[in-house]
Amino acid sequence: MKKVGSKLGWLKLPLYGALLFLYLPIAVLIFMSFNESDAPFTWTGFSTRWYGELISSPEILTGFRNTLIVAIAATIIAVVLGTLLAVGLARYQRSAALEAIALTPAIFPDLALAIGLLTLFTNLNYALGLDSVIISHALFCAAFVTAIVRGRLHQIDSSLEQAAADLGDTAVGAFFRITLPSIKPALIAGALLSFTLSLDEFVIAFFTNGPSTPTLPIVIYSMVRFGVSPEINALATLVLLTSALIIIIAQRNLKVKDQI
Amino acid sequence: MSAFLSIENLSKNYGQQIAIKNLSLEIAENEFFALLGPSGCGKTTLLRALAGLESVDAGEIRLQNQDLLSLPANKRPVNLMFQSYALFPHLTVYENVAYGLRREGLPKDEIAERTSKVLRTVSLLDQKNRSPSQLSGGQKQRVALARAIVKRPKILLLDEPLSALDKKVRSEMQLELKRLQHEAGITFILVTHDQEEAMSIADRIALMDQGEVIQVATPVEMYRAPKTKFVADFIGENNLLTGQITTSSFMVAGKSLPIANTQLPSGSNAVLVLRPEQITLGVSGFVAGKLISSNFYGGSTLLFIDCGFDQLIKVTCVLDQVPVVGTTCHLSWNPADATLLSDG
Repeated sequence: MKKVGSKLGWLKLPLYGALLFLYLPIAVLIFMSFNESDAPFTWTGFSTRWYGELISSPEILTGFRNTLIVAIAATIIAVVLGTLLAVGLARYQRSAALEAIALTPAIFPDLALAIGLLTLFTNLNYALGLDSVIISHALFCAAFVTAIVRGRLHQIDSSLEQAAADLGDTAVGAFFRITLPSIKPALIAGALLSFTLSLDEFVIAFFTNGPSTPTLPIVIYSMVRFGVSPEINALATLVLLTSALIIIIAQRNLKVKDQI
Repeated sequence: MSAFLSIENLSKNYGQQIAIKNLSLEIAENEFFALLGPSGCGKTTLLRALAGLESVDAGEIRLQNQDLLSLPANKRPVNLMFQSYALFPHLTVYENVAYGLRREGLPKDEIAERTSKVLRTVSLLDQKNRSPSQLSGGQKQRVALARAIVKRPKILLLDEPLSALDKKVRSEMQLELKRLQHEAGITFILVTHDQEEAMSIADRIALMDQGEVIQVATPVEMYRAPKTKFVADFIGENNLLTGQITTSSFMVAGKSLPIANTQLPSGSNAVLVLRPEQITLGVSGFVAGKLISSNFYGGSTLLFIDCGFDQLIKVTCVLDQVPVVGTTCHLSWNPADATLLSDG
């Protein structure tokens, strides 16, 4: 075994090459966020001063707060709607077309969705603000939740709900006592995914937001327009780590529960 | 007198496909009844219709003179044990069994008492805090059974309850089911495609094919007097010889075989049903043929003899009388034992 492995070692080169390609920009970003100097491309020494400056910047803190509000609210709405949609798709209909339609918003171009939403809000005379961003984020996040929950429902035996009915439970009771607990891992994964998607979503937020309530990605964007400051590197690093952490938790959650 | 459970003119189609065709059936109280048939014969659809999990297009189901079809599944005094067992994976064995009682809103100590009692009956009381994924196939099956039976239904429906178990556990569970049925005094309706299982376990069997009941009888009756060729073919090992009735005999592939009195008119096509154990080997017989092979089954051996018919004739033989393969065997039987069925 060992011999074969060492012989074919060079075959792993493309793997490492691909990983390098994927992670080099991110590594540079993280590395530079600890740069002492404010010159964006020269390394002068290790420092965490930019992380300190982040916390003292009111714009960034407001942006962060807005983003949190949007992400939490959008996640809650997306999980509720997405789950209901997935259960409906899995248990109450048989049309493959409907299923495709329900899942499409997840792969819709952001820009198209953003323009569509903006047009809709304008036509409805709906004042743009955090609530319109929440609605918009909930919309595309719901499609992801639907996809994940739908997949989970596919795995679990549909006779579980019938068994609950047979044992005297109502349809609503069976949903809360049987369906919901068995899709819990998918709900958690869907919620975490929605949260991360909303957290760093830019295009849709940019189009559907009002001027007075920028979310964090919008704040970052407006800062970058005047040049990349090391502060941005630090901020981007934090956003990146948060997203990565949440995705890891989501995946672990799905895997571990599936083994049981 | 009206029956305990009566099914009248029940019909169910899935689009073009007929699942149940104008089916009528009566089942007595405390009966162990089996719905037997090949896959796709409508037996599972019928069972699910009884449970309320499947709607029907036409017909009536009455339990103790009460209309069952107008009740939703969760209000019927009927419980189903699912083929997949459908145990709730996130609940313990105890919670699974107590589930139905909790929905009835019974007092807590009564739930605890009845649940523990049933778990003791299926000898799973010491496993009560386990989750279903920690159980063996036989244990899961017993949890499913306990969960259905604890509600004290008027009828317990069992959908292929033993199909997922291996052969040894299966025969143990067959005994267990029979014992439980006696103890609980509940009517059992079991769906199976395994004729041996139905024969060994049920008081009466309804053999179904293509949405219709072909014959309802006790296992012995069905074995001895199959009503049609399909029944004769489905129940047990059989030799089915297709031929024509003449005035005094039965012509198969140019050979004349003796027959007893028959209602069937002379000249009509018929099937002669001969059980392997009804045929004896001797120095002379009605037909003769070469022994092609013999299959050893422990207590008895099944011989395959080529008599020039379109099929090999199966004959049961005791172990120490098995002839050498290749020898010529002479077959005879009591013509009164053989059944003649019309072949339409």
